[in-house]
Amino acid sequence: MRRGDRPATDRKRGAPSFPIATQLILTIVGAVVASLLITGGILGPSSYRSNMNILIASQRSLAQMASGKISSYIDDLQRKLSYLARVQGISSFDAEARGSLLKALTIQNKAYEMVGFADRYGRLKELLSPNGDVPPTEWASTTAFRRSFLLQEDYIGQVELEGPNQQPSLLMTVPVRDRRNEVDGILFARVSLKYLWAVLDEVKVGKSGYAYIVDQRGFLVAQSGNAPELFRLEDISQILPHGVLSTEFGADQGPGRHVYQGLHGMRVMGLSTRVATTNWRIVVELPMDEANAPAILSTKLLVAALIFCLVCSVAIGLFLGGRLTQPLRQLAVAADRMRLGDLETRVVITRKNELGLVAEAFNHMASQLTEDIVQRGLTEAELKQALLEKQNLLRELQHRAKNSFNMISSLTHLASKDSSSPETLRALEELNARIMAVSELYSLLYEAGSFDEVRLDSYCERVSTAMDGLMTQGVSFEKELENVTLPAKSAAPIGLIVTELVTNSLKYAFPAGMGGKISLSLKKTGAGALLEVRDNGRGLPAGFDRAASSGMGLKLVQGLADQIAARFTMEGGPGGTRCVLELDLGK
Amino acid sequence: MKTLFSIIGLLLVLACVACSRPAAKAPAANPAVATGSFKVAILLPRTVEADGWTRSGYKGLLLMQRELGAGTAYTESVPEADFERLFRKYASEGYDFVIGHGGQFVQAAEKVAVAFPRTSFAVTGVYGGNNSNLGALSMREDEMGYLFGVIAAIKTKTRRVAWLGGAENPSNRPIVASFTRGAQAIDPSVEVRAEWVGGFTDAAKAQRLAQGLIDTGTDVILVLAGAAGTPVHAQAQNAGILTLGWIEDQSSLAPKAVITSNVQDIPQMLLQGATLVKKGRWEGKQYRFGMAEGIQSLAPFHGLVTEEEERRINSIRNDLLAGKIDASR
Repeated sequence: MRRGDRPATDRKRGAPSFPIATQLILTIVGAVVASLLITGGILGPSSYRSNMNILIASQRSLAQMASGKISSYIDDLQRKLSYLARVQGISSFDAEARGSLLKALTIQNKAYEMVGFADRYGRLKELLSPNGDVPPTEWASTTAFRRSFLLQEDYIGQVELEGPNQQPSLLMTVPVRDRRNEVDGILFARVSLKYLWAVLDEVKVGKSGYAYIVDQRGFLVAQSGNAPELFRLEDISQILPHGVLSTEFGADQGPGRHVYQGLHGMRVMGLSTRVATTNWRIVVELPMDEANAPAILSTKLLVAALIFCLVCSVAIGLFLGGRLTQPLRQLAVAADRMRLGDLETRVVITRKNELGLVAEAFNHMASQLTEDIVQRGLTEAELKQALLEKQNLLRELQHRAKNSFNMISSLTHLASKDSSSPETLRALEELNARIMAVSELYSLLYEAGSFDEVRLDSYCERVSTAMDGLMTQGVSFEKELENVTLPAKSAAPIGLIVTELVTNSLKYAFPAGMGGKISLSLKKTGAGALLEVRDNGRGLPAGFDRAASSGMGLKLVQGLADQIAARFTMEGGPGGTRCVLELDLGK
Repeated sequence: MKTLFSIIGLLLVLACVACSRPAAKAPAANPAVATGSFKVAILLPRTVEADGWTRSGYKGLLLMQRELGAGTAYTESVPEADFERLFRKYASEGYDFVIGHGGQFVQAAEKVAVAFPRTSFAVTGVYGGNNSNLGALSMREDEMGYLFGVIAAIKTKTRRVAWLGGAENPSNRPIVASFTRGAQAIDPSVEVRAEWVGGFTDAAKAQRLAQGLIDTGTDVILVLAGAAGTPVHAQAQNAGILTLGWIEDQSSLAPKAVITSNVQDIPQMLLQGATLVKKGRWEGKQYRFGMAEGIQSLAPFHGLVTEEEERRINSIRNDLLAGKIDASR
């Protein structure tokens, strides 16, 4: 095998349609991608939900913390006012005493922008207004007075922009009692809500998030990152998502329910919580760009990991595929070389794994095969020699048999020259013809170099030619022979039959002086051949019965036909006699 | 062996006593159902099964057990003659918070509260408090009264709506007024009638009064009469008119008649009062709760208002919540 020759397997079938290396790479890549996708598919959403839940929890915590601070702040302001409401008879105090108590409030907490007292008729009796706030002088028609005086409840009004600076503030009223402990008027206070901004500014909602407060009306009453001096009340009830003002929005909802169009028009993740003392709601919103940032980063990392693992898995697949298929290719090349006759081909694979075992087994098999082939070659040569010797021996036997028959023929011919009896002479001639018929067969076999088959047409030609000398004056002998081959063992009986039939025609068909024609034909038929000996002589005698005939010739013919399983028929008439031998060459 | 049988017999007797319920007719004092350093007792006007109002008081007690770990006790079907005695009994037994579940307990509570300054007392209803240790827990019922007036006026075809109340007292008189205001805010020509059963148990009288209203063309009735009002819903359904329920969703009583109900979370209101007491912040004043606090809300409409009507009702409810409408005037 020349260098560079490809293994026959490759030449015949081309490259493998789905090589093991490719399968291995695809398997590894598929396994890696599937495991990454499955892991990512499970962990991704779970991580996203977890992240969102953490964000939500964080926002809720911030909102609740701010809510608690604001609630405590308002509660503290209200409780101090409520404390005065518990002072029995405060409505009956003289103005100085009551004024001192009210002043103590404004000193204690600067958030009290204005405090005062209105009697049971709603008339303003005391007022402390450090910042110059101007309250209504007539309270009777106000909701605050009705709620605190008539319904005797503590009242907190709506956020309004009041005072010289038009800053957000809140009106609180409480019922107060006379010395008989009867409700006798109200204390009122307008408190600054500047503290709300301080609380909201402490609420750090990520980097871009913000918080704001909405009252029951849906008005924005405070907002982080916005100075209270510049703030204006704004009705945002149409902007807020449904439910923000009426429920604990976001408290028990899945992450998706927290996402909506936020205050500034961006998609945000937000939630709200109630300020217990005022029923405001603190809304905390984080833009989705920031909320989704961890998820986007996770996705990017996942994609990067996927690409890295893909590259690694392809490289590993190529390496492992090479390690696996290179020995297999070696084996294929070695097998092909052996096929081309290079029995000394061996593979060198030193790996201590299954491939090493396969290589070892291959080498062992090659050695064994080489031994077997060499042994078989020797045996074949011996057999050929033996066959040749046998053929030579057979040829020698044929030659000797032919010579023996020729010698016998010569002896009978010599014997006939010494015979004066025409019958004896005739018998010797017939015997000689029969001997020659058999002799011609051996001549033919010897000349053809064949041992088991013979050309029947050639054989008949030789036999008939040998009988040319028997033809009497005026009798012609015609032959029409087609090419027919048959086993040599059947040829001798046919040669004898032809001899017998032609001899019979010469003997009986043409009385002395009568001329005629004897024809011999051999034709192929579907199942074999048809041999016909016909003459145009006087035909068969009247009442001729072949079975009852005492002639030796016809008995011999029938016996020979039976020997070769041929069918012999004979018919005669005024036109001559026709003898037919049907040969079945299939048997 | 004889001693063993004696012990088993004693245990069986004790078990029978523990499992038996007190008779409903006599004031039924129930021993503390849970113990704790903070103890609350409540006087209930009727049996727990009798009506939603009484049941809400009992549920409030259970809520305090659960949320505050309170030791609790209650007495059912307390007659007026026993109000003072039972307040005094629980106060003297060291209960921190004693509640009379209804406006009818005010006078008795006022008397006892003075004698037990270290005990906090409450009544559920409209009351300004004693400025010391007796306060009141109540709903801002005028807002719901107004809203129900609105609903009644929207649904009436005869322009005759009515109020059927139990006992007339300071707690529910303002509801009638706000109901009338709400109805006439929608249609000033709507006629609002008010009928009082005179108590919360006489169902026969409530039905007679309801029949009178039906016969005179009233086609929407706000029923706030406790156990007495319960059969009125079915009666109205049979007559083909509509009703409004109170305390809890009463649609199941007459699904084709009860438009909606005022669902009051009274247990939560009682819990808030008890929480203040436990913190030492209970003041002898009026505490009021309403829709804004989530203590009071509208039950579902159960298909008895159209979408347009529902939008209109919700809009007015939002205005009440936002203070744009003052139901008290």
